[in-house]
Formats: sequence, structure tokens, C-alpha cells
Amino acid sequence: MSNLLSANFYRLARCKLFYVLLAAQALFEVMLVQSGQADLGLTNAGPDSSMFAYPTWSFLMVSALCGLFLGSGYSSGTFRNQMICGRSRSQIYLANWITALFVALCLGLTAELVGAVYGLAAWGPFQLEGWELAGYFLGTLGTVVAGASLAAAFSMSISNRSAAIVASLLVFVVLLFLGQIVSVLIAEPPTVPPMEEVQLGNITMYQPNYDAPEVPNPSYVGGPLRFPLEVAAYLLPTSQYFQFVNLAAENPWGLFGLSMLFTALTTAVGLVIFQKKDVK
Amino acid sequence: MEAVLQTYGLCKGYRRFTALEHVNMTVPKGAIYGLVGKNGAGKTTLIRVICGLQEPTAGDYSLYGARLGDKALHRARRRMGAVVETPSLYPDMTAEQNLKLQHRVLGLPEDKGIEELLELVGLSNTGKKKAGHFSLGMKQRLGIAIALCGDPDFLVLDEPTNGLDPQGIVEMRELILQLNRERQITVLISSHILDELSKLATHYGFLDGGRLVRQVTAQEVEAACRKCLRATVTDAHALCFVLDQLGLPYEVAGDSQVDIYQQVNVTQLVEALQKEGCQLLSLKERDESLESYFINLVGGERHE
Repeated sequence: MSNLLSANFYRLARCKLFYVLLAAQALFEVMLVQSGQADLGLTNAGPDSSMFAYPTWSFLMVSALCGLFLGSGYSSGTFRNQMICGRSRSQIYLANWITALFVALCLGLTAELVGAVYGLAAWGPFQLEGWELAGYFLGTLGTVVAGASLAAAFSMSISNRSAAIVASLLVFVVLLFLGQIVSVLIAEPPTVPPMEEVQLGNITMYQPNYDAPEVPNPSYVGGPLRFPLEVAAYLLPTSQYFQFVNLAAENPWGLFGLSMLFTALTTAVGLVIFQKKDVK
Repeated sequence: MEAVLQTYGLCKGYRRFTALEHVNMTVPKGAIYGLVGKNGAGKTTLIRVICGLQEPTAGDYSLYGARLGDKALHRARRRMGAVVETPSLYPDMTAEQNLKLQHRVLGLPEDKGIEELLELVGLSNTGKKKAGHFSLGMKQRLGIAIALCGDPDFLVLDEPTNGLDPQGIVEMRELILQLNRERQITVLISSHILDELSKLATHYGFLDGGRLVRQVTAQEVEAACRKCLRATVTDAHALCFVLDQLGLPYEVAGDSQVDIYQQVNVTQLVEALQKEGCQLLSLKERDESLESYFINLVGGERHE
């Protein structure tokens, strides 16, 4: 497998798109940090609240690069060269998967480094501290790595390169929406203060009555649906992303571990599909 | 004779049809084995299966003695190179870069023998031209160069002359012969261009409808395609007696037919047969080409 990796890195080093995407990631991160802090109207508030928003772009870029780079194994037929000379399908898949993770790490580290350097210079020190800050850095990186694993699975499972890229991008967009919905739902408390009607002239308003006993929250998802919702909230990289962006991750180190679990699961599925695929 | 490749009842089926059915094939070491068949006969499927790109649905094969499922098969594959259907190369890389990549995949030193390989296939002057801009002939040759990385001694070529111009076909033929003669590389080449194959192959396998109909050597085909006179008589034994007396080489082709492999004095023959109480019913000249041999084997219309 080391030979296959060596060949992949030889190609990646000569892949102009890789460098273009790294530059784009750095630029996006600067724009994210700048615009995020400007929107909040904060000064000297640290780059925390916006610098961890980079995974959105990373998911899309890693999908495109994986589709084009890894998918060329099908379009150019070079998977055949590797199989004919005795490389097993597992070796080929894992070598490509590691390459995808490397790409994700490069994109993520570029974003975090640029975001940290620019953010500290422009907005002052981080609000988060020590172990928690390190958890956010690692946790966000973990979501991108998990996303890359999913993109690699699509690229290696779908022999049509264009279809693989489109499918991967669509899935990420859907997962982003799903992640947002899940994050919102999971954040709803089980009980809320009751709403009381307040007349202000001709205008009728409803505001919470904090003095009254709390009532069950109609937006709270309980019962048998709660568990799968929580699994989705903590396991999906796109759901984790919203927790990091909103600085609401209670346990960023735990989320990193779950990202690794997601990575392992998608890799296992991708491997099974690739083993059975007819390479034509 | 040592066999490089052997198949044992190899089958490959899909949901709605069977591509290969009980194929038993032997490729001897040092041979140029021509796999002949119509479009859709199963040539490419057979090649894909033996190259490990697809799993057979039944049956087995061995490569250098290593059977399917043996760990040794992965090592045996290192002795093999193949160009299956279209050449597999990275279009955004040069010829040299493609070869360096393949060397890396094989775990070989990057620069080992690359210049010699490029010279062998006639691509030493391509410089920085990307493989995607090569002509079809150049791509085919680069595909062969990639297959030759690692010095394999078994080369599998799936219709390598497809789409080539006449000069390209000649160059490809010369290259294959050179590889076989100078490097003792065993070649399995599939084609439906029989005329081209007849100039190359030492052995033939005729595939039709997924079945290996016949496996013969080039000498056997040549013998079968020899120019002859086919005589149809009322008594084949009598004819054989007469031909023995006349000292003419012959072969019995049926109950009442004999192929005579020399020019015959027809008058003399008829008189001799009359003495034996045998009538000559017909005398036809036969000159079978590989094409007509194949068509007779698998059926189909003759276009005279």
C-alpha cells in the first residue's frame, strides 16, 4: 500500500487544482473571519465565533477534488493497472482514502492556521481557552476528515466521475440542511415558560411568562425519535459543524471521537462496495 | 510444455446472459496466443477475468501455477502486464510521468529503465506533451509501455490494433514480435482481425458465444488451411488405394471425400478409379484462409 500512496502523492504534488483549493480555502477563511466579526460589530472579541465556520467550504472542495482526483481511476482506467499488477482492492481503496484524508487535513490546517493568524492580528486573543480551544481546533478538523471519508466513498463507489461529484455535493448540501434542522431541534428544551398575551394599544403580542410554572415545549422532540435525532446531531459531521460554529459544543473532544467513528463507518461501507464493483 | 495461464471450466454470467461458459484454455510459455472471436464472443470478458478485474461466476484459472484464491496469485500477477480495452493512462501527465507513476505503484526505482521503455515503444521524443494529446496509436504504445513496467514475462493485449492506421498496425505487430523474440515474453492477444493475427500467433483459441470452440497451434491451422483438391467418390477406400499407388499425399475428409494435397492428372485418376470400380463424383479446389477456417468453425455466411 505504501507504493500506491507514493504514486498518489506523486500525482497530488502535480495536481494544480489541489493548490488552487488550498489558496481558496485560505482566502475563504480570511473572508469568514472578517465578515463574521464585522457582522457582530465586535472589536477585540477574538476570532472564535467565525473561524470555525470553514468546514462548509471544505466539504464542497473535498468533494470536488476527491471526485476529480480519485475518480480518474475509473475514467482513465488506471485502477486496472493497479489491479493487474497484483494490488488488492482493499489496498487501492485505503491508499485513496488516506490521500483524501491528507487533502482534508491540508485544507483544514490551512484554514485554521490562516484563521488563527489573521484573527488574532485583527480581533485579538481567543475567547475560548486551553483544552476547550484545542478541542474546537481538533473537532472542526475531525468534521472535515469525516467529510473527506464520505467523499472518498462516493468517488470510489460511483464509476462515472461526474455523477460521483454531483452525488457527493448533493449529499453534503442535504446533510448541511439536515444538520441545521437537527441542531435546532436538539437544542430545544423539554419545557418552556408559558406564553402570555400582552396588549400594547392595538397590537397583541405574546411573551414568555417567567413567573408561571413551565409547560411542555411543543417543539421538543421526545419519545422514540429522540435517540436517532441525538445520534444524527452528534455523529453527522454537518451537525457537529453547527455546534462548532455556534460555539455550542459541550464536548468538542467527544465530537472528534464521533467524527472518527463516522470516518470508520463510511470507510467500511465504501470498502465493501468497491470490493464488489466490476472495474471496466 | 510449461503453461503460463490455464483456465478450468471458467464461467462468467450476468443477470440476463452468460458471457463465458466452461472455458478451458492453455497459454504455453513463449507463445503468442491469438484469442479469436466475433464481437461479443467473450474475449474481453475472459481477459478481464484473468487480469483480476472481475470475478468468475464458476470455474478457476491459474497464472504461473497460482490458482484463484491463492495468496501466490498476487505475486504471480507481478509477472504480468496487460492493456485491457483502452490504454489506461493519466491524460494530464506526460509519457515519462505515467511510467514513473507505474514504477511507484510497482515499488520500483522511479528512473529504472524508463528511457529504454520509451525508446522501445517509439515515444522517446514526446517530451512534455501530455498523454491526453497523444494520437490513438501513441496512446496504445504508451499503454504497452506501462504494461511493460516491471519487466513482465506475460503480456495480455486486448485488441491492440483497434483504431490504428495501417502503419500503426504494422508497428504494433513489429513491437509484439520483438517483445516475444528478444525478451521471450509470452503474449495473449485478442483480435477479430484474423489477417493480422495470422502474421503473429503461434497458437489460437477460437471463442464463440462464450465457449472456447477450438484450441490449435499455428501449424495445425496451416495444415487445415492447406491448398488441396477435394475429391468426392463412390468408394473412398478405392480412391485411397489409387492415391497410394500414385504416391500422392492425401487425407480422408469423410465417408466419401478425400483431400489430395498435390496436383493431379485427372484423366489418369479417373482411369485408375474405373479399374477399381469407383466413380469420381466431383473434384473441387479448396484454399482455406484463416478467415474461412474460423467461419466454418463458428458458422456464418461465406462471402466469396
